[in-house]
Amino acid sequence: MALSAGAAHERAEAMWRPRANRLGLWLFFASEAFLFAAFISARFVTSGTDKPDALNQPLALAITVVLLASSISAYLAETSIAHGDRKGLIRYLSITIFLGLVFLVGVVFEFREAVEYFPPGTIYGSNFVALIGLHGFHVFTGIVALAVALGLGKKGHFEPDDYWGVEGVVKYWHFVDLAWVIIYPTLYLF
Amino acid sequence: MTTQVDAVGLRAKARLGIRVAVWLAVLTVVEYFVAVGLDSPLVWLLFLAAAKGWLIMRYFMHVNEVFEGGH
Repeated sequence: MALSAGAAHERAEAMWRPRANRLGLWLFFASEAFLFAAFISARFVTSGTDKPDALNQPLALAITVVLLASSISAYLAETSIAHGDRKGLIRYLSITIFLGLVFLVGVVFEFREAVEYFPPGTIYGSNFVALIGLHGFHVFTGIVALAVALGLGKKGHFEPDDYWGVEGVVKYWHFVDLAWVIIYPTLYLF
Repeated sequence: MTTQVDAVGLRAKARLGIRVAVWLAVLTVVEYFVAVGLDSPLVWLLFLAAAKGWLIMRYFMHVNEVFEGGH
């Protein structure tokens, strides 16, 4: 059966749009990775693997666990809407936002201790503040994006066959988590 | 419009996600003790960070979909 030009365009759009969206997002992640790589390499170039004894290891481990936990709740939010569970989407997006805020509170405590024990005027301190600040800003923008997706989800947007808005935001959140997986040992463990 | 919830598929995917999260938690704790316990933990920490990164990209970010397409 012959398709009209409009129907053929819609079919091609439905087939290729998700792939194009994903490819575009991954290219964005690649450009972001270069930015993080520059800051991470600066830490090693300027201060080797030295780190101050005053680093708050329990706090860093705690916020790392919080961010990992937020990744599983983000995954569950995406999985929920992919299987038609809107209540699950709203519940897990709310949990993810809450855990993201807890992480940011931890970052604020880190900043306070950094200023006291290794201020930005020192080599390690400047690297610490730059990396934590860069990542913290990404967490903040991720929370804003998650909140937008939550609001749209509450209004009835997204369906199992059309949830790119959730998928994109959740992938961004996982990227922020992935960046922390590298930043955590870079600043605290090496 | 009411959408039917695929409870069986949802449970299976949720179980997979939780298994991955448990592995990430275990690797994070191992990472911490390796850093605290070893004099030169660099190689071990690089390996553990790479393992955690692969788990996140493969199971949470579905990096393979970029090459395959579709959900």
